[in-house]
Amino acid sequence: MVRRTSAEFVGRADYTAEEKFEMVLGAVRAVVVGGAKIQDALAKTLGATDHTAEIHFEPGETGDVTHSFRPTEAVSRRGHVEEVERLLDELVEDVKRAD
Amino acid sequence: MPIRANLLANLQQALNATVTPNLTATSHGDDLYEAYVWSIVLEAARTRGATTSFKDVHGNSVTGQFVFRTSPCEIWWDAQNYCHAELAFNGCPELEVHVGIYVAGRSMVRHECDVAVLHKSEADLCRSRHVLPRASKVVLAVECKYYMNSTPGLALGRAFLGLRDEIQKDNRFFVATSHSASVDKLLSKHTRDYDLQLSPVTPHNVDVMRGTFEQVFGNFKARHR
Repeated sequence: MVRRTSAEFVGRADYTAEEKFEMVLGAVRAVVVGGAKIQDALAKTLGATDHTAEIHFEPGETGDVTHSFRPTEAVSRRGHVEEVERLLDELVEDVKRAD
Repeated sequence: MPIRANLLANLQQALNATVTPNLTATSHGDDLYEAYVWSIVLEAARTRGATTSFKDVHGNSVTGQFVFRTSPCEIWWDAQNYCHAELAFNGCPELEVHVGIYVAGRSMVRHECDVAVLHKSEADLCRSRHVLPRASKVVLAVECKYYMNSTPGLALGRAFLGLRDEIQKDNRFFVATSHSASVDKLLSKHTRDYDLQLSPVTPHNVDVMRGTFEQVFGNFKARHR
């Protein structure tokens, strides 16, 4: 009598178009919108309204990457961020209607 | 119904105006994220009546140039003019809020705190004597995980639970930008002090976490009246 055994195989399933769209949308919201909003929130908290004020990021014990931004630039991008969010919502609406 | 005419072009134009030119591939979102969580802590303190000021590592007031750490170091380290916030609640000991400092755990091993609120008296002592802050003097600590392309691994959740044992369980928070079902399940068995989707694009979650931080400061004030 032959004993049956089970086996599992790993296959590949490509992302569907909807999944790809959701991933891109998530990435734009998280990185572009989220990044700009984080900078804006920091600018508000620090109350740095002088155009010469800067927020720096410097390494501590390890690392050598430094970066900085001006709070006034973050504030000036506020309107554009709101516009991006509005347009992304419209895009989601249009894609849902097209389905 | 097709996509609205010019929607994609308008979106591209708006994105161009929004993308931060100086946030390059070499600068880290996690640095910004830790500073962002730091700002949420400050907002919570202000809502509870704290007056805030900004000081550098030498105790000087900071107005124009703010420096955050991108990797942890000792609280007294002055390789750069690292800044922190001071919180003053009426009738209570003063507090300091830092990004990226080491504190001493129960085992006297140093552990990094992405965001830490500690007694100013302890901070001053540590800066003058070059010693690590004691975990018992840390009022609130947050571990921050910024994930874009992946989700926090289970090892991070386990490490956080271990850290809570080392630097006391109360008011130790874990926040991340990306949800992980396994980490969610693990942490939910041991603590309520976490959020795996904390970012400015989830404003409700930010409001809830800010409210939790406000409760910590409220309890602090109540203990010192």
